[in-house]
Amino acid sequence: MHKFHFVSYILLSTFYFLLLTNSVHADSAGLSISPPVIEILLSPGQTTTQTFTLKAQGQNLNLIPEIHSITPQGNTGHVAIDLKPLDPGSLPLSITSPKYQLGEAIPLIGDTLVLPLTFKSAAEDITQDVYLALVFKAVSSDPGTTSSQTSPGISALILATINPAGVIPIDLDIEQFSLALFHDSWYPLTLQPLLKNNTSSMIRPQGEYSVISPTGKTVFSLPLYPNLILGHSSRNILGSHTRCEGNPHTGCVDISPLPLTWSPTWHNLGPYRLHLTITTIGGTKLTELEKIVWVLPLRLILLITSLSAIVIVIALTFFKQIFKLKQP
Amino acid sequence: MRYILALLVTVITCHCLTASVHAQTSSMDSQSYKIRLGNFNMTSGYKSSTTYQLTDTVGQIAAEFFYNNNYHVKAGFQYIYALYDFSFNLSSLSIDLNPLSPNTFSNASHTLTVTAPGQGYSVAAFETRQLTSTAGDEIPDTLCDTGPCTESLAEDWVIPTNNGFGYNITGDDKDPEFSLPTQFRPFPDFSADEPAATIMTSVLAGKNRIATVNYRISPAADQASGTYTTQIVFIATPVY
Repeated sequence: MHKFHFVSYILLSTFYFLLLTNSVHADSAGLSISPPVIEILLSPGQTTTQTFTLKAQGQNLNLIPEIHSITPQGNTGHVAIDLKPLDPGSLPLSITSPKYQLGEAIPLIGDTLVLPLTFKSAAEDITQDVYLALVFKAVSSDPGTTSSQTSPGISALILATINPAGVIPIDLDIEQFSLALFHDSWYPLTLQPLLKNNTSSMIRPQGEYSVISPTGKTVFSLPLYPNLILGHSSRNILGSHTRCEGNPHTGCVDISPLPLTWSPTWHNLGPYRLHLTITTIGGTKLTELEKIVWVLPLRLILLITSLSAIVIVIALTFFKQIFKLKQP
Repeated sequence: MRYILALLVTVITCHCLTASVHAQTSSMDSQSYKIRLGNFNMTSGYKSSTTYQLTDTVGQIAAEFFYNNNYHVKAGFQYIYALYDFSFNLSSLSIDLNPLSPNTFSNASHTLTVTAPGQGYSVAAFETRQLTSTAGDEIPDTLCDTGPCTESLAEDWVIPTNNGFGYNITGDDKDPEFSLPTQFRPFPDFSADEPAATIMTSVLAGKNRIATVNYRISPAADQASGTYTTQIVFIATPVY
């Protein structure tokens, strides 16, 4: 009987574990990279090192690390990657790895690849930005000859400013900060302004959006999300959930961005000032813009006007009938 | 009775053992509260007093701020609470479109899975060359039915006598150009210096965003026989 129990225990345990085991496709491949984005501020002729950790899942994989140039695309922080790998030695920011040769296949041993990269800026006395992507392509080390192959690639962004003076040039413009003269207090008021960086150096500004009542009281304020804006590009201006305290070393700690939306209440009436201030991390004012919008209960006014008109028409018709009846 | 008891003990033991295998998530909630921890680390968050302000991510690899007089490096998403790593998964490393018949569609598909913290991601795709045989013959990229469809413009492709090779994509964060499952377009050809096409994109953080790539081919009646292959490359890129 004890033997029967033991066998039952083993069989049930095995069955249970088999049910819970995740299925793995031998032909699949997964990649994850850390850190996904790095920002570097470097003096000319100086060197710094950053380690990238790539975790890979899949069998018989070769990993090919390559450096590609990128360009900002749109206003949401996306980039377009140039498909031709760059020669890292040809850049104002030379990139070398003491451990691996960039552009050559590295057989994946285990599930983690640690790639230290050394960045050395050119000894040129000019401020310039370099935007690159470190792309890891995973290719099968045993490709078949009868079918087409697919290759996953994952990239980490390397955003560098080479600055000899220690002072970053700043030239920002607020764009699309426009709105109608009147706003119905029934609806929330959402703005979608852009911040344009006119310099070639990236910047991560902060700021605040505030709504000021006709009596000068701030009825709504929202700290801006400290998005990075690359050189000669624009970024949507968004608010953030928590107040941005501004730390010169770590920046802000906001959780996620949200649109600049103010919901007026029924008693918000009159000319309201919408004020947008852009500052540095240290709090120095860079630019500001203000617009006035008249907040009125337009829907309520329309409703009252319509009802009044209907009442007047009915009353006129009624009195006209009475007047006709009184006529001899 | 003893047998039932033994069975019960077995099942409970198995459950306890497997429960201990699963990692605890960094999220605690009830009907009245929800606590999200910044990272899957030992600890992370925002600390301050009257004399200091600090964000930290203890245990997260390489999410740091390094500096001396000559350089500053900000690594990782120090500005946001990254709840997970940036990752990309391809469910298959080969595309099997066999057997091929003239003027007949052959289809194959696989999935792409992206997990992206921060403010989103994009996935770009391209082919290293057109489908080419060992003898050097090529199967051209599709032009679709009434198109022509292009590397950035998808069009209907349901008539198999319109020969070629193309793809469409369905699922999460797909390029809105693919509004119908019958719409296809060709891959950009790297050998012809064509830029990669964005096939998935998002401005929001997302976990396990899954899209399916559907490949379609229809060779012409006079297409030379042989084995035709190419390489399709997908690159996932985070938002800065």
